[in-house]
Amino acid sequence: MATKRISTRFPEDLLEEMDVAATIEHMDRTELMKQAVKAYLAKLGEDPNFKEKVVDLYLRDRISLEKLGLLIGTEDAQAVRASKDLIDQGEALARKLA
Amino acid sequence: MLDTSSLVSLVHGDLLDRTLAEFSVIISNFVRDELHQMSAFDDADGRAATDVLARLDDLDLREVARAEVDPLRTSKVDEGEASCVVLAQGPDAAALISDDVDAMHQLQAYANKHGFDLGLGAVVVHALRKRGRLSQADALERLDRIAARRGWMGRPIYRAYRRAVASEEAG
Repeated sequence: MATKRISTRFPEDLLEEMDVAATIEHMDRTELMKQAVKAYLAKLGEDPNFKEKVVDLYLRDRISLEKLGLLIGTEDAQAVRASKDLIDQGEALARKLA
Repeated sequence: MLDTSSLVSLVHGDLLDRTLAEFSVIISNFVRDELHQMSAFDDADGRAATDVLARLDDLDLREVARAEVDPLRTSKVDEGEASCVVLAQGPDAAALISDDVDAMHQLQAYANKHGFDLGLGAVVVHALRKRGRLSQADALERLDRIAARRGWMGRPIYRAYRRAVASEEAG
């Protein structure tokens, strides 16, 4: 997987805590941060409020289908994509039914 | 042709009477059975199912054989929706209307394969608006009301449909 270097600032006490945890877990800071972010995103991914906001972003064309799939799962993303198609086709069908 | 989820949505939008007055609504025996099962629950959806069952005489109930339904069932498409797919292929069904977002990808595949129209329950609100049976403000308010009853996937979808209706009217 491709990686990208980022620069960020941490409070010193949080860095110290992180270093202790990294030592105990036999990993470096980078690996610990990756694991922490993954765990955080996985937790968010279980939160219906978060998922609702992600779907909203997709329906407003603010994020791609690929990103939607990463955040809510591929099957749910396909279901939302199909529903978006139906929203786009809604005017024509409403006219037909009317 | 309305499935269980879209009928329940219309009750939540207080639009069942108006829909039945304006459209010939086809349902299947499997949808009727789902409504019976749902009506056993003492919650908003259960009460909505009870309301639909009270109007059963005003629905065009069609029998579908299990042998036709079973091949169309998947992990996402239940027997109610599968029976609607069967009926949607008939000559007098204008469209299959469903609010089961979980099943939508598979239902869309069936619609493309068998050549029938597929729509969200919101399209009924939209059609009532186009027939002049709802004012714009009323249609948008009903969509809001239905959205509030939906889950994390259905709620933003209903809100997006509402934006589409609002922008169409504004344009």
